[in-house]
Amino acid sequence: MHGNPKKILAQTLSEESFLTPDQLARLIVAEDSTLQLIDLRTAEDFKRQSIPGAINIPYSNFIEADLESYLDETLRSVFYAEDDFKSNYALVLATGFGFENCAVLKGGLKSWNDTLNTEFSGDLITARENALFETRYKARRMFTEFNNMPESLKLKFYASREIERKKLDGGCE
Amino acid sequence: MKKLIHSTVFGAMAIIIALMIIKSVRPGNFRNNTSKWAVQSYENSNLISVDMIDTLKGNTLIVDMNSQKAAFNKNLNVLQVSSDLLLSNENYKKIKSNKGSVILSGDPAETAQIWMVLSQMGIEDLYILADHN
Repeated sequence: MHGNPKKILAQTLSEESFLTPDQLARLIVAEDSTLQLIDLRTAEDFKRQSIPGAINIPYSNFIEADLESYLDETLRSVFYAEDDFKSNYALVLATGFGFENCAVLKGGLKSWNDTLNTEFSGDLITARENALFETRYKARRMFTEFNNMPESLKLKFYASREIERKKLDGGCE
Repeated sequence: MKKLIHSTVFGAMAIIIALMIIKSVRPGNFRNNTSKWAVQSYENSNLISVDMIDTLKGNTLIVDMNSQKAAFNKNLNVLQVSSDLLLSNENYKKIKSNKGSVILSGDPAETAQIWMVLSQMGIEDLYILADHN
């Protein structure tokens, strides 16, 4: 790692470095192509369940991995794990290695699942709650459908995203 | 003339090498070998529970970043500080000079980040209090 520790910590602790599950759900539903999700759990956990569009770099491989071949600096890299620890370690490491456009999913996959399954109580629902409910519902549906897909279809999904990304970059002529 | 050029080049190299040595030993900079200083985070052996605090040897220092001022055993050495002031010279010196373990207490995301930064700066026997709210 290189750089000024104070500066790195100020950057990684800033609000911009954290995405709540609701913020991420909005981006997932909108199929935001400026986002790059990195799942830091083991390959087995990733295969069982992951957020649509995420790539898997198990944390134990993260430090030794050639991050330049995984992290596209033109995209915002969002790290997540089961909870907050490993994703925040990775955020500091990536920032220390010079990748500035990084963030973490606050609370990890646990918080993601809890938030998406939150029920609203009461007879009346505000406009804001309604918007949240809709986004969470769509994100939950995408998440469930994606994780119920057979492996072959998931691979096609990733391949199609790669082609789309290359088209945006002017590749695949 | 040749002697002058050689002396100049030699002098410049000596200055550069001296600066590199100073940079590597000056407190407040990252150590080399990132993975060595991150190894505890792989297996979660840097996470500690309240019950395990008494098993630690030496002077245990708790760095409490919990703004609600968590209540700890009165016999423990507690440094109450916010995360943005943790790396001030004064606080860093207290952590660096502690003869024993240092435990970070606070929000999991904050403590994880601070643990990684302090570890990479060469602080050993550094733990995160994983079950304290």
